[in-house]
Amino acid sequence: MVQLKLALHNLVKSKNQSLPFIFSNSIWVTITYIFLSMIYNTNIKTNSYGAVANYILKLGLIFIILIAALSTFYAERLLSKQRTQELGLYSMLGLTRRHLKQIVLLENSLFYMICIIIGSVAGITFSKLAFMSLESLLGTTSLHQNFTLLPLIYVAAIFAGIFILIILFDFWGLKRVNPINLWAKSSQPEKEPKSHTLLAVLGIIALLIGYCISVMIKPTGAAFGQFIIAIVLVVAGSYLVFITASISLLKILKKNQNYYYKPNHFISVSNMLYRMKQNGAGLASISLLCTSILVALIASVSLVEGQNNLINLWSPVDVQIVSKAPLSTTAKQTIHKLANNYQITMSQSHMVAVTTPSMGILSGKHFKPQFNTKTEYTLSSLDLRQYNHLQNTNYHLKDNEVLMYAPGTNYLQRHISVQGRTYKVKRIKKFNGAFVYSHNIYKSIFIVAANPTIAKQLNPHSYVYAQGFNTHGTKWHQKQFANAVQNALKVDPSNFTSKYIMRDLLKAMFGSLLFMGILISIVMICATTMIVYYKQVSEGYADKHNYQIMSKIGLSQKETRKAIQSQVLTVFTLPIIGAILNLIFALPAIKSVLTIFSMYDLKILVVVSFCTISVLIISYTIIYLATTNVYRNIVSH
Amino acid sequence: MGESGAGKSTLLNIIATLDQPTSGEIMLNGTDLSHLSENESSQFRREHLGFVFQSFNLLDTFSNRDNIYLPLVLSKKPHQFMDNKLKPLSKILGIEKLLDRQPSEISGGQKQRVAIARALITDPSILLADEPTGALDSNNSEKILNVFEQINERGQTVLMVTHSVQAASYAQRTLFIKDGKIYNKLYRGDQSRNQYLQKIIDSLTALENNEEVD
Ligand SMILES: Nc1ncnc2c1ncn2[C@@H]1O[C@H](COP(=O)(O)OP(=O)(O)O)[C@@H](O)[C@H]1O
Ligand SMILES: [Mg+2]
Repeated sequence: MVQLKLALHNLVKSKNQSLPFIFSNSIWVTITYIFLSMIYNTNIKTNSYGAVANYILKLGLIFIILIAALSTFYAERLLSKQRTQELGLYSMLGLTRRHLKQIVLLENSLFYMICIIIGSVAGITFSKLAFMSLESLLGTTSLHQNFTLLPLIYVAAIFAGIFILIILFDFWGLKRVNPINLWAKSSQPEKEPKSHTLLAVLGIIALLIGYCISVMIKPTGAAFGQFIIAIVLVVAGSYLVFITASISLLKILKKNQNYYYKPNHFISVSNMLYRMKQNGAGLASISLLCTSILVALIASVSLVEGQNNLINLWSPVDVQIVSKAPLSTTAKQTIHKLANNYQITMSQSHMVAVTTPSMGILSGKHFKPQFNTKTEYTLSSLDLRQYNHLQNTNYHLKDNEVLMYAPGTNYLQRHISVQGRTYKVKRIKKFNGAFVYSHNIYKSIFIVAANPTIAKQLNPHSYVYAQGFNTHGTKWHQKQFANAVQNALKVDPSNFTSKYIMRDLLKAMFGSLLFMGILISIVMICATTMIVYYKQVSEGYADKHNYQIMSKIGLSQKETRKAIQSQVLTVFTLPIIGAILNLIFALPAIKSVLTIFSMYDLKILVVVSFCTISVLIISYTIIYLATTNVYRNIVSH
Repeated sequence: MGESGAGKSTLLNIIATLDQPTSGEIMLNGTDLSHLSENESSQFRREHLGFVFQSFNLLDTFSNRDNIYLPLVLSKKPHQFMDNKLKPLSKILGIEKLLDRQPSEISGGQKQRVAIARALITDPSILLADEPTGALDSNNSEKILNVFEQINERGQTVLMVTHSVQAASYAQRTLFIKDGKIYNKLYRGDQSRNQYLQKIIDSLTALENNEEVD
């Protein structure tokens, strides 16, 4: 079949363009596969917080598919420009438009198959290796991978969709031009790009709306659609802004004659401007990938850092037992006996009676009991006498005043309205009787009322009794002791809290989330590195000729180096700036996700973000230096 | 001038400090060019030499104006200075209207005139041209050669490599190269272009006959 031969010929002949295309496309297939395999090939769904993990993974998947589609689309546009000339030649030689369509179809199908095969093999290998190494590193056994064909089928379908769009677009392009134009089209050299004010404004508007949505929405099940809209807007906006704004920026720089007519700027600005249409898309991809690296790293590192917070929040004392009735004397004796057995001394033993926490939401100052996907809080109450006794404080309250212990929330209202009554609120920082009822994932609020009657008005449920004490001894003994107490008293595990058991519990719980975060970060870092590398290499070959001419005219090696540095520096600082900007607007979303886990702590988030950004900038600089070397070697040899 | 493969480009490249001679030395204005460092030769090229190539070698990334400015920008000259330099030059070369277009938008003859402007804007001691008319039709070639003649009359030294007798007849002096050696020289003196053309042809015939004798 001659069409197949011609398609193959095109592919091989323009390998300078088609190889990078296959390469970058395969990376997208790989990443998409890894996301899909995490969703469908692991037991992440069934883990604790699996629903949340799944939710985040699906958002990540959509994000990746969008970037993949846009950058594939863009890269193919450039390829098809190259192809037009060949097609024009064929049509002059007598091939009909139908034949040309068949060639386009075959060529794209070839690309599709090559990319799917390479990408899937890479994806399977990578996720297998990553799972094995991370498992041995983190020691989480709660997460398993079992191979199914489902992700492969999905990845094939997703990219089939992308390629069908591309093919349709190519067909449309064929329709518009007659053979004479086809022939002339690619010999028309790339014109200096125009500034598109309208597109730039559209891009900025898309970004702003996307940012607004992401800042305002809360990560509840109901907001999934809004999150997707935000992601679509931010991705599309980033592409538009990078493509248009970078052109405008360069044009402004070029207009400024004092800046432009300096040796370094002269060469770099015009080189960049000449290639900016391709560049803009590439920079947007890099910037979005960097954003995702930052988000994934910050979220997972915060998760690790936040665990201690969470432990203190969930069990302010070493052991806390929650029960429907106060502990019997025999139970207490058993505890003391066990303490002796395990060489444990106990201190700060206490007991508080609080009303059984009821679940609900806070809207403004109103607490509304409610149990569904929107549920965020549990509320329970106790009387002031118990609190003052427990904490050794001396608070006084009027009937319409309450103390409020709500760790991990930023409740700024001065009043709270519960069960139709409004109370004046005073926030307290400490409550040793705090516990997480049934280990639910909601944030606990404890309200201290002036007397038991008001406490009942606040939350008309029966009392539960929290008895807690601190333990002192070796870590191992403390853990053994806690386990022994739980077994001996036959307390339901969900109503028994020990710091040490909690720690293990959290490790198992967040292990999978952490694992996922690290895996995503690694994948994204690899992808970014390779894309940056390929960008440098392909641009090196494109610029080689120009630098040779300039060296003949009198550009020395040293000046070449300077010009390259100036060029690459500009190109490579833009995505980082974009990524940090994106991150700033993604932080509220990260914050909300962390808040779900009661892990939000401003200080940790700020420190982690700062460190992550620094690490990213450093690694990025290293990649930049290494790839600049590659570029320079290509250009000057 | 000389046949293809005679060593014309090699000699020009050595004068241009782009190549190194295996033996002998090249002196220009009392400077020995064979012992310059990479940096020095770059600077030397920028300050003393102008280049015109057969394939124009304009940079697609620059507008025609910026292509012409390139050597001056590399020498860190102020913008006003470049502007003043370009004005008379573009008039002589007839490229005033092309300055703000891209090299890809103009014809070969026009490209070569832009390239000549780029070579002349630094007031080089010597303008080196390697078959500058090789890729042009006779009409455009003539225009280019006329330009060379004109600037030569104003005192600009031009060293042009060619294998066309027509092109050679515009020169004041012609060196013949064969097998890497200078074989013969001719001076135009007061002769008309046609007389000089005839002399070059005679000399070439002699050169070929000589070959038969060998
Ligand atoms: N003086 C010389 N001695 C030895 N080899 C030479 C000499 N001059 C030129 N050559 C060789 O002859 C070949 C052709 O030279 P070139 O300058 O490209 O010819 P032209 O430009 O006249 O067509 C080159 O490979 C070059 O190395
Ligand atoms: Mg030659």
